[in-house]
Amino acid sequence: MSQRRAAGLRVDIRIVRAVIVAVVLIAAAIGLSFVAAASAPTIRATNAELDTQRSSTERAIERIYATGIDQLKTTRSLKLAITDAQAAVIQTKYNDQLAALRQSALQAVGAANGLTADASAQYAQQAAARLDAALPSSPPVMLAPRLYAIVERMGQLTSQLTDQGIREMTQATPASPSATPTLTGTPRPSTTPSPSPTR
Amino acid sequence: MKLPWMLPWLVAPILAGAVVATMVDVGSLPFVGTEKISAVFFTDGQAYFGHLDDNPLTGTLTMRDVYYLGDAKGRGTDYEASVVKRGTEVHQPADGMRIRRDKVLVIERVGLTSPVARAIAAQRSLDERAR
Repeated sequence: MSQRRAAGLRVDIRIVRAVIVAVVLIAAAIGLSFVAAASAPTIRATNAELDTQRSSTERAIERIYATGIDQLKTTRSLKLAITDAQAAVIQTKYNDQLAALRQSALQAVGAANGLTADASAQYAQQAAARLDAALPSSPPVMLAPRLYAIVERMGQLTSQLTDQGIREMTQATPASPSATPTLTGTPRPSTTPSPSPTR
Repeated sequence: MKLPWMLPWLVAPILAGAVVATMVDVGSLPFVGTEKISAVFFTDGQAYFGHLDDNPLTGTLTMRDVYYLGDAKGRGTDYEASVVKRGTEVHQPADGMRIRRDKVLVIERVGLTSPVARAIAAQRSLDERAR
C-alpha cells in the first residue's frame, strides 16, 4: 500500500526543474517590471521654465483683474439711477476688493512656488506693483494644473465681485421717501374761510 | 557536408529576434530613452495623457498619472485650454484608469517639448517644491 502511494507521488525531476525555471523566470519578469517602473525617467521643469510659468500666471491674473476693473468703470459711465458720488463710492469699494483678491491670488502663486507665507506676501506686494506698471512679457505657456487652479479661482471670485458691484450700481434707487412728513410747496385748502370775490 | 551542431542554436535566436524586432516599438521598451507620455483619444472626442500600460492579454488599457484638457476660455491664460490632473474629481479616482480598447480611436506619443508635456513637468516640479 505504502509502496503504491510512493509510486503515485513520484515526479520526474525534469518536470520539477522546468517548474522551478518557469517560476524563477516569472518572478524575474515581475521584478524587472517593478524596477523599470520605479526607475522610469520622468520629465521635470527647469527653474527658467518655472519662472515662465509664474510670469504667465501673473499675466492671467492681471488680465482678469483688469477686466473686472474695466467692467465696473464701464458701468459707472452709464446713466445710473444713483448719483455719481454714490456710484464712485461703490466703484472704489469693489476696486479695493478686486485689488485685495489679486493680492491674495499672487500670494497663492508664491506659495505654489514653495515660498514661505512671509516671502509670499512680500512677493505678492512686489508683483502687484510690477503688474500695475506693465504686463510681464514671456513666451506663452500652458499653465501647470496647480497654477491654473489659482487663475480659475481668481476668475470665479472676480466675476462674483464684479457682478455684485454692477448690481449695486444699477439697482440702487435714488433717496427713498422719508418716513416723516415734510412741508411742501403744494397749496392746501385753508381751514379758515376767506371772503370770495363778489361780482 | 555536415553543418556544425551549434548552427541551429545561433540561427534560430537570430531569426526569432529579427521577427520580434519588427513588431516591437524599441522606444516603448523599459530602460530605453526618455519618459513616455501617451495621448489616448477616445471615439467620443475625449483625450487623456499619461503613462499607458498596453497589455495585449487584457481587454483594457491602463493609464496612470493621468491628465486631461480643460476649457480655459475667458480666463486670461495664454492658451484657451488648461491641463487638469485627474484625481481631484469628487470621487477622487485612484490606482489608474482602465480604458476599454473598443472606445479608443488613436494613441499617440506626447512630444516632451509640447505645451502639455511642459505643463506636466512644471506641475511635478511645483509638487516637489511644495513638499
